[in-house]
Amino acid sequence: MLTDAIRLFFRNKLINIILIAAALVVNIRMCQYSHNIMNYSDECTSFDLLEASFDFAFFLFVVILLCSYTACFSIQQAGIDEQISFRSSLRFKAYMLSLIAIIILCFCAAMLAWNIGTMARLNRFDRELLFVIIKSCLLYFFLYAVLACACGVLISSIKGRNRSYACLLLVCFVFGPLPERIADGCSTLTNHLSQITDWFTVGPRQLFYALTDTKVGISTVPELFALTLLWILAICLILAGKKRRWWLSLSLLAGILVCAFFYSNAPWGNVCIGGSPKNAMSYLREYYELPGSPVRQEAADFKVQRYDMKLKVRNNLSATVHIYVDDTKKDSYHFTLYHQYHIKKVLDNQKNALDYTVDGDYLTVKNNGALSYITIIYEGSAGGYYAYSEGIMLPSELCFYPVAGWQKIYDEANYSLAVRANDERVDFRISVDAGRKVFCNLAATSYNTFEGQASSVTLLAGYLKEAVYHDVTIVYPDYAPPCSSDEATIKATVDSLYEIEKEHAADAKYSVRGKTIFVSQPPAYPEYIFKDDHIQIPFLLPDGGKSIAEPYYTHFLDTGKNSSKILRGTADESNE
Amino acid sequence: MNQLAIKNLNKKFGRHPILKNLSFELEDGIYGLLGPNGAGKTTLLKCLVGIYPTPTNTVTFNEMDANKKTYRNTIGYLPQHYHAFQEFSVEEMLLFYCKAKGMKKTDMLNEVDNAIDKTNLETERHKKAAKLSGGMLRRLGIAQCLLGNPPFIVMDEPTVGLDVEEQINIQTVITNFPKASVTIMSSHIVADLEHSCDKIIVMNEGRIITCDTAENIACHAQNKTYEIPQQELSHLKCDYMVVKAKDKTVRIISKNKLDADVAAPTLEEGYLCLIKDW
Repeated sequence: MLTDAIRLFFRNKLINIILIAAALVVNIRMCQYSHNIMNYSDECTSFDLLEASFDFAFFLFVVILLCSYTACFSIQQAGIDEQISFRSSLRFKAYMLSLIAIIILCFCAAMLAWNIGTMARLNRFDRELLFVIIKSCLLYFFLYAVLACACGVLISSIKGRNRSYACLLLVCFVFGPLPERIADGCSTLTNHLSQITDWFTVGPRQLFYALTDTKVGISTVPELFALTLLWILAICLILAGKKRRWWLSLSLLAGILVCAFFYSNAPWGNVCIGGSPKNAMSYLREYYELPGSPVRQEAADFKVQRYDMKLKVRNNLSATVHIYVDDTKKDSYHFTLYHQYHIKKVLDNQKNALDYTVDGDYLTVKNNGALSYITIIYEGSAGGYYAYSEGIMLPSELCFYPVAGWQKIYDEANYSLAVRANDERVDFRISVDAGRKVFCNLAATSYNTFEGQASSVTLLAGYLKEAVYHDVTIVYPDYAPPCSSDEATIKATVDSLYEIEKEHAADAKYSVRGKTIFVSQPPAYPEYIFKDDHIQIPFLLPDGGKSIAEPYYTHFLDTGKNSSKILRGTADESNE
Repeated sequence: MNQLAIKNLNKKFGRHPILKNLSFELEDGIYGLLGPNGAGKTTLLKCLVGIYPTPTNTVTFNEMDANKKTYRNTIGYLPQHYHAFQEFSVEEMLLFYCKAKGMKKTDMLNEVDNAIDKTNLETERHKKAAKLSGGMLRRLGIAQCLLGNPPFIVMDEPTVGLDVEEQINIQTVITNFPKASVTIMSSHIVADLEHSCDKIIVMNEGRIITCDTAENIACHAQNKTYEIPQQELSHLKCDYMVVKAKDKTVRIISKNKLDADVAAPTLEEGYLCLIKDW
């Protein structure tokens, strides 16, 4: 019967036309992409080819949908189910679907081979990127195409050609790229639409800022596996329901519920796709601009002397923070901790529970009279400010650790995190248990352990690399536009900073020497942040570093401000 | 001797009962299933071949329950609307059915040759199903019924939609079916069944009215069949039904005794009397 299945499949004129046309289109386009990448290899990276190959995900979806529908319809039309035994009918259909699965696997293999070949050709072979490519192929090609196959099988059983065609169009619309774009277009009116359309957006996210984050931290979002499986199982449930096999239906239903749970409730499900500015910003706006959302600003009446932080990053951030304060006799202590982190315990040094209250971002801890340091244990996930297995993006402005006093986190005038200028320098000892290397503005004493004095701490992890040039550390995304990973641009930026220092005979305390430049911007964040020990910028431009150097020194040198102040954007005096 | 046994078969679609407590047994022979549209013929046949699930041991053939997964391999079934894979030739299609029925490779070609021979499809052997005429396609359907010499053959309206010549051809094929088998073919056209069936099962509103020979069924219209001049029709003041009109004479059946020439009843008239319960 396998030969019959092959014969039936490949003699079908419509299937032949679809497959030949698809093969031609894919080959021509991939040749074009490869040609561009080879000829402009200085400007392109192997990641660009991976992104380009995502264009084919929906194309493959449509091809497989049509092939599986046509194949199953021809079986349906022949009434084979009625004429031969159930077992034989099922076996025959399985052979047909296997052929479709082979086509899907061939396509995935081709995509994989192309990407690996380009990586090798560009001498950019990287194990992590290879893992990203394999996961991408599995999710955006294989599983997405399996979903298409399942949809085709289901639609073939619908009576009436017109109804079937309408369902094919509906499936292409629902599981295609349009809902995401429509939701994005309506985002000024409502964010609730995207909460609905996200459930159907199983293919690669189309919007630019979503894709760029594959370069800086997040490869594939794990919950998309659960979402795609959810839909595959849902269609299998409908198909199994027709056969009235209750045990199969129950198993599929259980699988659907598990997938739905993982997609909607798993801690990493809170991570925005790439921390897109839209999602992070809209969340901040929605939360902080609601009437009644607590927003306070009150300087601390105590000083933190030291933070001992143990952070664990798996599916979300879990933290145990010991806070040493100067005055242990106060009645209560005010801290600010971003509200999406939920406090589990507050303890004294004897591990006795301390009374505390939480109001949004604001924590009040009551002294039991016998403490020498406060331990706060919390965990959570903060959306676009992600901390999970794929990466970490925790700027200090987020207050991802309890900051003394009541600080305003959101700057409504600039629709971004508020930059704090008055944090005192404090001793930090931080250890991060994460699946990948973590970068911090503090000095590393060992792997993912940092120690030092600073006014604030920023943590980053992901597809980042570190380069040191003339005592300046630059942490940058390896797969971003070439200027970020270009050694020449990095050197030019640092050289430019030093030159401007020399030109202006800058005070040594303003010098960029010994500082870290993080070329990785969190969402809803001011463009440039210059702090006492690190600089955070969105990207490096091939302009010899002028775009960073000039505002940096303009602020310090022209106004003679204290080096502990924070610079914001370009010559913004309002945050001094 | 093969035996088909049905015990208390009921079938509903939603709340609407289609088959009502059917019970009968059939042994080797050719049986016609006759009934008006909506009588439940197709539903009954689908229950017999296992397409519609039935309670255990309600439908058995040679004591094999119709719900068994291999049941359909032992029967030959021609559905009401038969289609083949358009891209397959007659021979390929029959070979496919042989594989589906689990036949040995060594037997397949012989079976295909026999089936093609019995249904006179030799000239169409290598023609694709898409290019077959309606009659040829139906013959292909009958050919696949005969593969493996099944002891139980079910055909749902095998001649519907065919021209007269093709109907006769198919009836000829059917009369040459193996005698050692139970063959049931349904139709709502009496002429299809009259000469080819050993017995006729008359069905109406989900019930079996009778299972008898054509002659005995015709006898139900004994003394109820009349031939009267056409102009006298309008004068009749009783229940009657016009069966045939020819020249200036009409044949009618009536449950009332009429003062007219009694005619020898035909199967059709006997069937109509049974359906109308006259």
